[in-house]
Amino acid sequence: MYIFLCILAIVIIYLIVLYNVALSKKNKMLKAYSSLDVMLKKRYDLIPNIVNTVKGYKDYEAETLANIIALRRKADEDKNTKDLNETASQYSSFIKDINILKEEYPDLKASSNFIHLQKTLNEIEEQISAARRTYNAHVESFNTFISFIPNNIFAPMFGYKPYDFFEATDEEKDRVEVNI
Amino acid sequence: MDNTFNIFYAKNKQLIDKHYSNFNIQRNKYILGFIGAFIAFIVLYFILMISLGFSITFLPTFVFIVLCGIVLSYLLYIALKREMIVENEKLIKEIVTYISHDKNASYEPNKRIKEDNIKEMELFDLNNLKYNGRNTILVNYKGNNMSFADMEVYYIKEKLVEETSYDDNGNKIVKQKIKKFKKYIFDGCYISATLNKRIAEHIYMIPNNISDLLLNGAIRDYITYSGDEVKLENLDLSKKYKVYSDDEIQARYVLSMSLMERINKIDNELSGKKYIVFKEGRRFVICLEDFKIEDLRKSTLPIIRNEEKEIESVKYIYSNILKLFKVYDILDLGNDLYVD
Repeated sequence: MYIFLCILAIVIIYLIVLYNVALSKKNKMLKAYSSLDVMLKKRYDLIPNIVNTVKGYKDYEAETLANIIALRRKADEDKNTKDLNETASQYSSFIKDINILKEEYPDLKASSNFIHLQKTLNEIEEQISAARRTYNAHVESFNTFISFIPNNIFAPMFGYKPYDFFEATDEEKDRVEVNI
Repeated sequence: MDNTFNIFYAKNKQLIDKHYSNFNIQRNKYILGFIGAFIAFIVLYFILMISLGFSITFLPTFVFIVLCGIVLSYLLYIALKREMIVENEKLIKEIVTYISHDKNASYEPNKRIKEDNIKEMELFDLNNLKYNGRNTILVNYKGNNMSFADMEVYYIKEKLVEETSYDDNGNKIVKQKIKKFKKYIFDGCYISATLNKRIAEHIYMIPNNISDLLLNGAIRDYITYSGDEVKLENLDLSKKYKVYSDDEIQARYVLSMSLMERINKIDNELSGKKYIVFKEGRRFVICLEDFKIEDLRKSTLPIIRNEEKEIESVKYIYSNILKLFKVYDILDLGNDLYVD
């Protein structure tokens, strides 16, 4: 009888510890995710400024403008990692457009406003990268924790499932061509 | 390094020659003074002995001459050392100016780094520690305001020591004395520069072995880093440092993948334990142990003119100062990619 009670107590303690540790790891991960979200939004908010700066350049078509405004709206609606990842990737192609534009118009490259925007973009890109790394580090920690034996048996009972990493899309993995 | 040193040496050969010839003139003056003083003392000794009516015997005369020789040699050594230091100081200043191209670069051998700078780091517990330093170099290198200085942080440890002696009656007397000695928490070089990223939080990189209770327990008690530990992706870096910050994302923003690699490069370039602190704003500090500008200042010059040894001596100072400036180049601080 006592042995059974001891085993039961150990199991209960184990389950409490498992639940709490996993919850703490999950919260850290969600916090990192929300920071990443904030930074991605911040990046999208920069778009109108870039648009204003490059508006005067003839090849900058209305279609591109419409696309990026749609992107900005979509970023607000994204709810999960996959959506956010896809929108982020579309944004990257917009950045490529801007870079091409910069190569075609040397006076744009010289504009102090544009240089400032480029620097802001660089900074935000690095912050996003840092937020992604933080998020991924927490996802790794959480996923590893719930995958350990016997955690992998009990964790799903509390609703803990592995999360997706924030990965580079195929487009982002492509070799970047730099025209100098 | 050889190439840049050769250019430096070729450009400044005349100036370096002038340093060494100055040193030689001073050295000759001191040696002449030494010989003169030595002869004067012996003559004075004989005059005094004769005028006072003492007979001149071998043993006291020999002891006097030997003592005179030792004292005067020691004074000559001190004087020459001082001259060497003066010439080395000039040389350090010239090398700093040459490498930085900053004509306003300052080198003050007897000045220590400002207390505020050390307090701002919030790395050492200055309520319980004392600090000292010298050899402060303030320079603008490629637009970056850098400072280098020797710094030592220590506390005074008191130890009760018993001294035993015996009185005339053979009774044992035990006296207790408090002996004080310095225990160093840090002894090395302070390097400060401006980072090309702006941060809002403190980030500390503490040597990994500082957590070793047995070896570094005393040191750890006096290091006042704060924040949560951030586990970074670079394994080499993680083996060497523990990173602490209140904002994990900021820490990763500053310690980007490339910066982590560069810090590893600095580790290869500058051996010795390092504490790295990124402060609010854009300043950062590297406290590097086992490197002292004082060693360069006190490096010895050949007593007798020898061009080969002179070049070696200049090269030693040059290469070590260049190492300090490499922090800028390796960390790519001139990379103006970010918003001011």
